Amino acid sequence: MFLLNVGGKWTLATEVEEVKGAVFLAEKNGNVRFTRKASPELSRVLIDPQLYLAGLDRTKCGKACGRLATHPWFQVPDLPEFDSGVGVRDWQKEVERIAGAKWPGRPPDGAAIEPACRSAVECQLGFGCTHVILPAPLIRDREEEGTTLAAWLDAGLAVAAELEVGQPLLATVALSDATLNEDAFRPAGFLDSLVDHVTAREGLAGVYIVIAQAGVGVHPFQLPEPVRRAYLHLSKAFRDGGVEMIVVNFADVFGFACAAVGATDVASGPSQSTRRLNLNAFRDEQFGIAVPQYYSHRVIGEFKTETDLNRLVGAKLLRRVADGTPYSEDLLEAFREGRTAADLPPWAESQNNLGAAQRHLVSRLATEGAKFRKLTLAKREILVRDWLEDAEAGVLYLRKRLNAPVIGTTAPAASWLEQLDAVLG
Amino acid sequence: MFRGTVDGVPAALKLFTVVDDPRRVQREIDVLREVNCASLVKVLAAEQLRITGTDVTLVAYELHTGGDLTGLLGQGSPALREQELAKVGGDIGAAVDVLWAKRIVHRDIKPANIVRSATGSCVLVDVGLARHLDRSGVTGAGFAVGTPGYMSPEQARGRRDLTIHSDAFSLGVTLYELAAKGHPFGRDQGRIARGVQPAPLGALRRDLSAAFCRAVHQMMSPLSAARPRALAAFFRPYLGGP
Repeated sequence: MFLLNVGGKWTLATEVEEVKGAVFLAEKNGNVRFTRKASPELSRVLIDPQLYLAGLDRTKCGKACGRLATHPWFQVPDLPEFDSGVGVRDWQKEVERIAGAKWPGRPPDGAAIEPACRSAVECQLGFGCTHVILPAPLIRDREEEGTTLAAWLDAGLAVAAELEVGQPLLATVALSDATLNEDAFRPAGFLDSLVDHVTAREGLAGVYIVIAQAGVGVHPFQLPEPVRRAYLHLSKAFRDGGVEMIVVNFADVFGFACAAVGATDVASGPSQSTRRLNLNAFRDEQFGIAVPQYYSHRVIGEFKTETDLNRLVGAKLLRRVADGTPYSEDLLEAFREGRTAADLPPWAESQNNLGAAQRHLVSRLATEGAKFRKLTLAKREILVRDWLEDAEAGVLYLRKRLNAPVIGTTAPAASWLEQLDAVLG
Repeated sequence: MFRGTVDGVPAALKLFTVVDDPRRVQREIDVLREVNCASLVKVLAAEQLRITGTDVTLVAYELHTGGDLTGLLGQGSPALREQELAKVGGDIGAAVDVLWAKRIVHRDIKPANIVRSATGSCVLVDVGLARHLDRSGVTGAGFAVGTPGYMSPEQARGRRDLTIHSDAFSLGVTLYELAAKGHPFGRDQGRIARGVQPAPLGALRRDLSAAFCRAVHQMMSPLSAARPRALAAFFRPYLGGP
């Protein structure tokens, strides 16, 4: 199933009909939103407490720390209680100001773990989540072998038992890509130790996997090789360990490749910051200028609506990337009638004109997720193989016909396929 | 090991050299004294002592005189039937389950550490303390405490924070050895590390059910997560025999 990562705007979760589940991100939603707004009616509603961001540097990521500080599980001291008379915006500003000085920059530890778990679980229950994600900090040290994760799991499970939580519980497994050297993948190595800790504990219905990248931000299609390998390795190992629900987040469409080896749910978002987790993207000086891109699941590519699509139309190749959704029919119709995206304001290639492209992307991913949900693991593998092989062939054909090394932004489908084969053995 | 009494109760006394924080040792002993499981040896008393300048812990265990299971490994002794093997698995599994509920891992399950009680049940001895005590073990990172040939791959790699899956592996090796009267890995920890699979138990013991043999092999899976978690329940279906 596809789960939509929800940032500040909740409209996509409710307006795009194909979306049946969502993950509300703590970093993009102050705590007041969870306590004052009703959760949308979806079959799966989750809040990611994002405790794995507790190590952000307040001097470089002031805004993100300010938003996170509103959540009690980060345990920022001396924050004022929310006062509706003050208003959310002013309260948020005040929290951000205090967090600028008092943000701990590390997750709670020792006796502080239990109240952190408690507040995160209570928040999710209060919001009406269908599943409860037990928080855990980012694993940065391979030598630590998941000992901290184990402590958080035990604390979270104890809190859930005490609160008599009826919703399925998911364990957060969040790790930094800095942990991913060759040794991490060995049998009985680091990654297997994380799987061991989770599967040894009763009461968990599933796992929520996040891998944070510390390097330079890249397009979500260009996930570094060790990160992709780790997503696959963990998905398969948890599946082999009998875990029922395996949610892969921030792997973008590569999450569907993980579905071939065990992932049951793939979460991603409409924007760069909700599609992949790059720690540098939380820095205050980050600013982005985005133009609408047309997503084609068929070739795993994104194409600028004028620059790239006009070229494809000119070469009579649009049908090779066309991947219709209710939100992009108007665009394809326009091209059929000899018009271009420039003639359609929602698709014009202008800065931050992203609404239509995002709806199309989310709709397409949700449709794909629904398809996966109905299949057995063996059939999922066939579907993924067909998808990746067709995508590779499709891009090669486009390049040949256009006599161009690059067209749009495409995923390295052949490399994904090789990794899948390596994991399946 | 010495024999003695604690408040008139016969006891087995053992001296351990403290190689960890004594308060942690004491906490673990306290936990073990609270545990009530028929197949887990009871800790009757424990005392921290200083002998010739060395900190030691004297632990008094409930005494069992029924002998350990190494006596069943000889070719002269009759082979255990499936339900007898399942009883060993279930008894020791129950002890391991109880320990894991307290987040304690035994780390040294083998025939020599399983004894018969007066009622004929199996009792797990040398409980948990190898983790913090015992001069035979080194507990630093990267060093393993345990018996070669019985340690799980992750234990042999020196992982500190093991789970119940590690004890499940050792129990699987023990059951295979009892059933086949031969060690599945030739007591060679290197074979375990290399992921070598033991000979199919079903080929050695055709009287055992295929399901039971699969269960024993599952316990010895190289992937810890693939091993069972609730061990007493895991053996329950086989207590009636094939």
